[in-house]
Amino acid sequence: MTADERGAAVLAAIRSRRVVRAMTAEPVARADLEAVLDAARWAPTAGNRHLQRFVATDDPATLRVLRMVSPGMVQRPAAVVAICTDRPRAAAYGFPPDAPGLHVDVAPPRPPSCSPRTRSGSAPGRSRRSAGPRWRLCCGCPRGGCRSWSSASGTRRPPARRRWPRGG
Amino acid sequence: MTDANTLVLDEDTALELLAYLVTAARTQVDEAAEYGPLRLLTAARRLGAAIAPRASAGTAAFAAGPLDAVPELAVPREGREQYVARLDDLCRALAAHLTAHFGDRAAQ
Repeated sequence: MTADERGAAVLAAIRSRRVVRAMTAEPVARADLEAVLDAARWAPTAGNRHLQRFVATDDPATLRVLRMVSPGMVQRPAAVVAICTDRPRAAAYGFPPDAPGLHVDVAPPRPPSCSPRTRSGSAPGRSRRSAGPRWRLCCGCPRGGCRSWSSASGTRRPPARRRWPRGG
Repeated sequence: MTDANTLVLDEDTALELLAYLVTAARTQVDEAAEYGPLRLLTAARRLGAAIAPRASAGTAAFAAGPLDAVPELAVPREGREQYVARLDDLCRALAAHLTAHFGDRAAQ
């Protein structure tokens, strides 16, 4: 694969990434979950501090409780990766308890090695002050035919470009 | 046919909805205001789906009909007037069901 082809593949992955909010009950293979977790290890972090910790589960009872306390979790995922912040480690680096930089603001995309049918969705964490999970990555197989008109996600489109004003 | 004493929700499901409402109240403090009606309608849809199997035919029909027809992720952002109009339609459908439901009770 040439450099151009690799670049095109990355752009295609970026443009085809989407949040799935309707999933089937089909289980997520352990290998797929491990691929997601392994991909997360490669994600860059500020100062290479790696303050996030990941907890994966496919336990039905845990998933049910997670969903009932996660208002943004519309889907019924077959597995979830809870993304937590290592508070003691963050404190050791000098971050104050309510430092906004510790929060995870995006859901990681599906890694290429993952089954093509396994997609991800995301759900926000509860409180900025708690030590609990900051974000939950929902894993499962997308269910077709979901409605999307006039929705919070809707048809995916890139945000409008903003330009910096040119200096004199 | 059900009567006023028919139980339509088990404890686990009721607790699930309670947890959703409490945590949604917390997240709403930090969320965009437009998510407020979305969260409430999500709770209504979940409640409707939970009670429908044991509820009266009319209530089940309302849950499976007008309530379920509300898009899961609709928010009053673009097309706000259309959003409000659809909510008004939902309220009218609810009013019609309440009138029939409690009217039947009063007649018994």
